[in-house]
Amino acid sequence: MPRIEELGEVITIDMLIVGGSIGGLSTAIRAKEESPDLNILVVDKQTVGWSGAAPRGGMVIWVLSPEDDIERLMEFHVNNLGCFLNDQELLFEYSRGAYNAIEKIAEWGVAMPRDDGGNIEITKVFQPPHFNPDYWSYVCVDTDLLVPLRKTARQKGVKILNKVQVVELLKEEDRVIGAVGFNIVDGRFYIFKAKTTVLANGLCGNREGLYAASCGEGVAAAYRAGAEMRNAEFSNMVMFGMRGGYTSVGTYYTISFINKPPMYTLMSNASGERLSNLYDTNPAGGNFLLNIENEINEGRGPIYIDVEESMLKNQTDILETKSHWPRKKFTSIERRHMDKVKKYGKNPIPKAEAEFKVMSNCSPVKVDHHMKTTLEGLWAIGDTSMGGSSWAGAIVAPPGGMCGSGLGNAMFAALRGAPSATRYALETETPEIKYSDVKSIKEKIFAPMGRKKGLSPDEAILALKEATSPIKYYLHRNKTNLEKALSKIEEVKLKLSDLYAEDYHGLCKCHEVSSMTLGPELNFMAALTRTESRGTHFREDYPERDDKNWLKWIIIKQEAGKMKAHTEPVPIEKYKIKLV
Amino acid sequence: MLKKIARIEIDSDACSGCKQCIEACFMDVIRWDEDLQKSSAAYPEDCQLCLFCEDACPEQCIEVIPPW
Repeated sequence: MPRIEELGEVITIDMLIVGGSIGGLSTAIRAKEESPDLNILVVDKQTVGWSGAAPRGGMVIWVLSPEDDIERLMEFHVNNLGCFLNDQELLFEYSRGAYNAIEKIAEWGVAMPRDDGGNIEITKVFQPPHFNPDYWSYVCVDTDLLVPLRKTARQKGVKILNKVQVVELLKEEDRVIGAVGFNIVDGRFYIFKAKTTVLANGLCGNREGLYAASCGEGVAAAYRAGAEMRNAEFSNMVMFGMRGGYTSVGTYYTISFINKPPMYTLMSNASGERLSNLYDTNPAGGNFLLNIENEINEGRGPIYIDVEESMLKNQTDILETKSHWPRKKFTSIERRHMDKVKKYGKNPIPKAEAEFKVMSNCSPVKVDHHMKTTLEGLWAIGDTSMGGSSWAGAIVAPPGGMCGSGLGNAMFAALRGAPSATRYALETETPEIKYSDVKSIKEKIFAPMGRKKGLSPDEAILALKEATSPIKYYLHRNKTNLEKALSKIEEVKLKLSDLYAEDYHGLCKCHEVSSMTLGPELNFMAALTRTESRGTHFREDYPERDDKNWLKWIIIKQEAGKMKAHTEPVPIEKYKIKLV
Repeated sequence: MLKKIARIEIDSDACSGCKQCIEACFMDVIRWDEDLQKSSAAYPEDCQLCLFCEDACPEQCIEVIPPW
């Protein structure tokens, strides 16, 4: 009888954590606190310490300070951002738990500003006063925040495996019993036999900018394994940056449709009129991109960003000035970006034409209040499940309506999920894995290496972006164009069977693009199902919010190879904030 | 349509082989060249211009040239 070891290196552990950015490392450390003898492995397709989205954001963590009013935040969030699709109990826990999470990572070695009394210094926000409720607060961290977390994890005995892309989950009936993946440098195949598996490898994005490494391999593997997805229709991520000039990772601001009218204050039309003077700047007052589109359609485009006043220049200065805490690494990298602009940029600074991108940034894995998915043995934290957890409701997550909430959520989710995942690992037996299952999965994973021609992963990524990027699929949704969008994705998916890889780096990209197709597909399928407009989801054919029929979550899962949607009522009767 | 890609210049004479740039890259752009025993920009088409490699290099021998 063939042995499973003939297929690859078998690693048996109590807890497998896929993804070693802030969520994965925090889960590992917290699990070790719960149970120091737990055998934990963190696997990352790049190098733990610098991988993932966490080090490349704005380096602030959203927090509600201990003296702030949770009730007020909840009231604002549920009414204006989540539009009553929030899991209000989890939103409460997140709001209350964010500060504790920050204290915890400080304890684990992450540097952050302190006041004279040694307390963590919370910085009030830099957004304009009319959009500056006093709970919009941050704690600054630096770009190298994962390095001390990695050190702490190792000191506690957490093992780390770099450059391994985990592609597929292993199952025994309805229980997840580990995963398989391969080394993207030498192709070595790994079989992880795990009592508990935690997905912490990011959202389903479109391989650009800050989220470039977040292609949704974990989300897609969970979906294929039968896990439920939730809130995918609200995964419309809007980003803006400066065309042809300053297009670095850190300078595409991630914004949502309804919650960032203050960005108008940074923008003017071709006549020099500030958009903030032309449009409602109330957080719930209108659709940001539709108004910008209107300016262009009326012949007042292009839209310019005032660099001098933008956060681009001020973010670092204001935060540092306020906190008196220089973020050395962040500042050094920002300076490099500015130097590139001066040396190679074509656009005159300080005025640059705004460039907008709309895309699916889907974090849809449905989890309970302890980040457990709907599958036995599988947890999902951070960006894999931010939308699916539904604390943020009807808004793209991250940022969930609050800058810095991606980092905050990852830490919060790790602290919520680790104890529960640890208990499960302690209560269950080491699973047995079938040779035949792994053999067929391995053949599928390496299939692109056997093809000499066909579709390259770069061609596939381009085809997917072309199929899914038209702004109408996000801003002007209706039955006809959503069905068209889904058929375009089907065309791309058919082509993916011809993917070929010249080496293991290319093979990694093949699995990235295969995973990436799921984000927009879930987004459009859920958008087609939701016959109303709410939050970041806008339907031309159903332009009104319909509270009578649509206080429901849309749940999507794979059944017999097909994507199926159903609804689940939001239990508004048990929540504190009611519809008036 | 061909995607414009960044150029990543690594001064191999100055490179000390510390591999910090490889660690810092989140897109697997920079690889270890076994023959040269130096870092090399193996997959510049995947560079996202985050500049972490430049910043990580203790010898300051990497320059990322944007495709603008």
